[in-house]
Amino acid sequence: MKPPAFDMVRPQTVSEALQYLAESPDSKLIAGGQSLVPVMNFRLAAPALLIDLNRVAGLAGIRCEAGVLRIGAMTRQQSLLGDPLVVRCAPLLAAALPHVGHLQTRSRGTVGGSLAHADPSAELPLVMVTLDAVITVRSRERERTVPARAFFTDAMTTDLAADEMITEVAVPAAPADARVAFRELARRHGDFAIVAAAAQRTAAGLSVAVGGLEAVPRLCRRLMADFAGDPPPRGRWPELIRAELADAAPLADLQADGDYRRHLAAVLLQDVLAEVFAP
Amino acid sequence: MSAPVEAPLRREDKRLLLGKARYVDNMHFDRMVHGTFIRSPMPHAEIVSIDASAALAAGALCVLTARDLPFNAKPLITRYWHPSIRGGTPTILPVDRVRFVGEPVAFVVAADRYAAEDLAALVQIEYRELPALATIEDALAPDAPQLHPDWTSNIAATFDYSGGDAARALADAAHRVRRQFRFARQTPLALEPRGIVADFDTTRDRLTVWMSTQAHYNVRQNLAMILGVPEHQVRVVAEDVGGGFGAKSRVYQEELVLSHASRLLQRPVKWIEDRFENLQATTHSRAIDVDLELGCDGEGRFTALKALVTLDVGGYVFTSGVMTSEIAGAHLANAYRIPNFDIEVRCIGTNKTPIATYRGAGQPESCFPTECLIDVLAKEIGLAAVELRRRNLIRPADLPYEPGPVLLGCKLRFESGDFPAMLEAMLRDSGYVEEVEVAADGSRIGWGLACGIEAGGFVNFETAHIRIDIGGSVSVFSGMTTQGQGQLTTYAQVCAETLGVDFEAVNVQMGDTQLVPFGRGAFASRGAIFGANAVHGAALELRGKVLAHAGTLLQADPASLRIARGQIVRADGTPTGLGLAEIAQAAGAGGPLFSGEAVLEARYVYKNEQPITYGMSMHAAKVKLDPRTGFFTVLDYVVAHDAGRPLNEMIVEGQVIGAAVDGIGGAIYSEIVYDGSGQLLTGSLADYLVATAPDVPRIRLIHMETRPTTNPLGVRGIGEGGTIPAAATIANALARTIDPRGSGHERSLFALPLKPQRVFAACQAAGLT
Amino acid sequence: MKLACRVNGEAVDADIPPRLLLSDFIRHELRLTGTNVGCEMGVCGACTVMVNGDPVRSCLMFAVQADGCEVETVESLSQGGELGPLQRAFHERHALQCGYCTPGFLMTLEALRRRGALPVDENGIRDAISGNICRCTGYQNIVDAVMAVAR
Repeated sequence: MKPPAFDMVRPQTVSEALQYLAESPDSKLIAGGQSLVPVMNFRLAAPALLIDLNRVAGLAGIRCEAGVLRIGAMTRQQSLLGDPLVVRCAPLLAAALPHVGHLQTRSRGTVGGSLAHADPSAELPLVMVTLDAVITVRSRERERTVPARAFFTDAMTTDLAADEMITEVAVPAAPADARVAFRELARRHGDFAIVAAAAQRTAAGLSVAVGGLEAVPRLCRRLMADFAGDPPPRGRWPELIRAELADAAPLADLQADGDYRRHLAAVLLQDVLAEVFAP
Repeated sequence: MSAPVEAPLRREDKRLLLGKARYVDNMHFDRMVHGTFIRSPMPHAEIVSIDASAALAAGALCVLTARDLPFNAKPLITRYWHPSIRGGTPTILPVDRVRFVGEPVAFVVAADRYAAEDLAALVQIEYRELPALATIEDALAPDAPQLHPDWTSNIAATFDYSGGDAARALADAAHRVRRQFRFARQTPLALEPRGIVADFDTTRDRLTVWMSTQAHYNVRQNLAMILGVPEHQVRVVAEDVGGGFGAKSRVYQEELVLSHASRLLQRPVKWIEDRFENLQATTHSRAIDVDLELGCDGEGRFTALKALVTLDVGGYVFTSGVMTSEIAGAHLANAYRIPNFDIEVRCIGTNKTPIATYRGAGQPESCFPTECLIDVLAKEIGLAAVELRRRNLIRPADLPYEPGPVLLGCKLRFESGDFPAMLEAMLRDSGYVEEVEVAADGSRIGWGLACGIEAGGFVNFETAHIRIDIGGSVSVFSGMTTQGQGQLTTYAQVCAETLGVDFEAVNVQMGDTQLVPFGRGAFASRGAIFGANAVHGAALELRGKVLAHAGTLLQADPASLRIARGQIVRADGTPTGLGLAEIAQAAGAGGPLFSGEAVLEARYVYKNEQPITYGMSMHAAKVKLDPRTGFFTVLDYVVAHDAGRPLNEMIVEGQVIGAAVDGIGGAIYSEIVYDGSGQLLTGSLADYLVATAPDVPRIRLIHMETRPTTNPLGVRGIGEGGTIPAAATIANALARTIDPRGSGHERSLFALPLKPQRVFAACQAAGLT
Repeated sequence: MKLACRVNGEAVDADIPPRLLLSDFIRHELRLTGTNVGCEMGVCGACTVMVNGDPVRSCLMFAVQADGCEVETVESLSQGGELGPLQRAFHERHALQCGYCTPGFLMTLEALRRRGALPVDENGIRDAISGNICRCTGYQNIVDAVMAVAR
């Protein structure tokens, strides 16, 4: 399985990269390559031009300022693992990261790459949706921001236009009293989730979402409304969760069909709610 | 004779650790070019036309199809073929019809693999799609297309094993149970895929092939006979192979195509199978359904076994025939006394990859149904699962015991081993209990158990030559191959111990058809049973020659001499001043003791008319199950095994542990899946899953040792036994953990792999959720 | 496309097609055949090498992307044919059988060892090697070898 031929450019600035992207309709950005290169090795994608982002200055790194954790798009997933800034400002992200692939894939794989790839079962899109992160997107012409909750539009599909790239994701820093829970069911450690659930509870309320169930991460708005204010009694949780998931359009694959997936999502939601609402 | 050598570390390791192995893709030769196979994207189609002109115009060095191979219709040579097989073998490349996704159709050669794949995309192949048989049900449907002229109802072969009167015994049985079992289609998945470099030097009329194979002599025979080259002008080398597990146990069409390409191009040609090809075109295995019924008397003694064994054999009967179904059918009675049996075996063709061997080769497929059904029967008659087994296991007093079936021309025969003692040892040391623990959070913990026999040996000869040089060093040349089982070390141990020299003085070579005139290779757990016994026999013979020469030189009775650490010593240990170096100098073609042989050597072929030696093992697994989801973990896993005499305990343990993990992973994760139209869905390692390190526990071992009488060294096979009972062990653990007393909920557990959704279905059936 | 990097401490200059995978460059251009290829899609881990000290899948990098980088392969673990500490531990604990996965394990573990991040407990070690498939050993002796080095 060898990839088809292509040209490659290695821009050193974001502007240069965006210039290439705008001018070359048959091009793809390559970040960590952990998702793109397998597809090319299988000859399922054959872009004429690869725009390598690994030399672009200023796209990697994290900083926490004014209550926002800013993560550069080219930040390697492994560099976030165990980073005290992440643990402090985004504990839910810290909880999810060990589930993301393996050491070797995290060494190259990037945060921006995972978000742009938009695999329904990926952990990072789920976390960003839960935390109401904001994704900064640039083209040659303009820069705009997109809430994560609007960014994922379908399986493997995002709001990105063909000439746009992610430059940064901004995560609201968790308050000190935040309680988080992340649960995932996968066949093996590091596999994409069959389903995953993520929750963060603060004084301001509950954020909870499910990944792997549908084409995009599902923000559980009904549940979040149910849990605004005083949490409902435990005995009612199963029925509330059922109501939340009733209109889900679950995926199905070799590991789990739709009904079973929905059932697993319900179990994980129960578990993350129990964890963040534990006395 | 020297004292037994304490198990040394492995000779093999240094080059493997340093990155100096000679796997086939590591071989580089001058002017070497690379090829890629174009494979059928359709499960069933007529080949209407193949047009290579664009590829050739764009620079392909050659494009080979069926019509370019003068030998295309010659049958592959196999050692054994069940008499009931009704044809259905492939030609080298297909002429007018393809019968599975991945079937090789054409071969394109270019300067490198990247270019070859580019050029392959330019070859125009027109197919006319035919209705595909995606399942056995499709194949047996009344209006199903027939895959091969003689495959009426798409039955490629059918035969049976019977003894006594099973129908009557079942009718009279005090208790009977019947269930249906499905062992998923799997693939051996060696980490190194297949690969070949063929170099046909027509100026010397010599063909040299470097290959990732287990069966180099079988490949040599095929290359020679089919290509029309004298056999001893063909050399097949498989020095380092990254795993075989039964996938590489015989010739494939690709090596013939490569060799022909090299002959045409007059340069070395390399093809390395990529993983996508490997999942499609390397033979699959398992894929056996068993409808099994077991009957017993009022005391729980088995009286009858009736079974229908169905193998989904794929689009062709390939080189190992229907062997896994033969082995599965013959071993359904496992380690138990069952006087009446009626086992029907059918091999049904479908448009899928052909079936061949994979670790266990039919034994996991038969152990799974029998061991699971025994647990069901135990529950239904109110006996503990271990007690039901205890009442039926073959006992030492029953030996020698012939269960009845004849397999590959040999009567099954148990002549050693102590199953009851193994069961007691397992119960004593494993922690196995039949009670289930339910934790406060609702998770459930329970144990399961299964026993299995491992037939090893099969092909009834192996060759070893041992030579002593004028410096006194000893070289062993074996007809075997190695894929990491440690033979370079264990054969040196056997030679050292038998001949009477230091381990360090012995050098072992194998995996090259040039070393000995004919051998077989590594498969069917025969490395010790045949390979080591051949070395032992050669060492004995050489020892005799050395002592005879020493007797002549010393004017002493050879019976009063022995060899210790390479020196000739008298019976009481006093040195004689003579060593192997001096004997070798004297005995060779230039020396005073020359007696017709060019060098001091023994050339030995070990043969055995009872080629099958049985190993046995019992497995126990402790699982923790979340009944809300069906997800479970294996907390503890114990293997009690009898490998006979362990040549090297470290290596034996490594084999058992590795096999057990393969069995556990296979039971839980591994399935080759086709969709309803015969398209392969598991074409990558993201979909075909195997166990990784966090997925399996440590394997605890309980060693037992009884000696078989079937071979001089008293060894048993060790490569496969660890795999054989694993699926049944885990299924039994889950079945019990879900409901320790009732049965009827297990049906979804009787179809492998044990995906959480299936386990959840069993939990629901038991009313747990 | 030009590539200038260091491989096992030696300067390497090449002009290669952008699509040439790092795994193929290492194996077939540099003839460092210790690194093995098992899947070409980043799942099996056999092709793991170190790039700037990080363990990466060489089948998922184009060689030109290693421009300016330090690449290390299994051949760098031994000095003058003598086994390095991880290799010695693998040998002593029988942590390899066919050897095909072994270089990938060694480079993954070496990267952790250099960072002082080799786990010392069974579960930690198994997690660390979750991205490396072995079909022969059942992983147990590999875990034991790592424990021996980590402690």
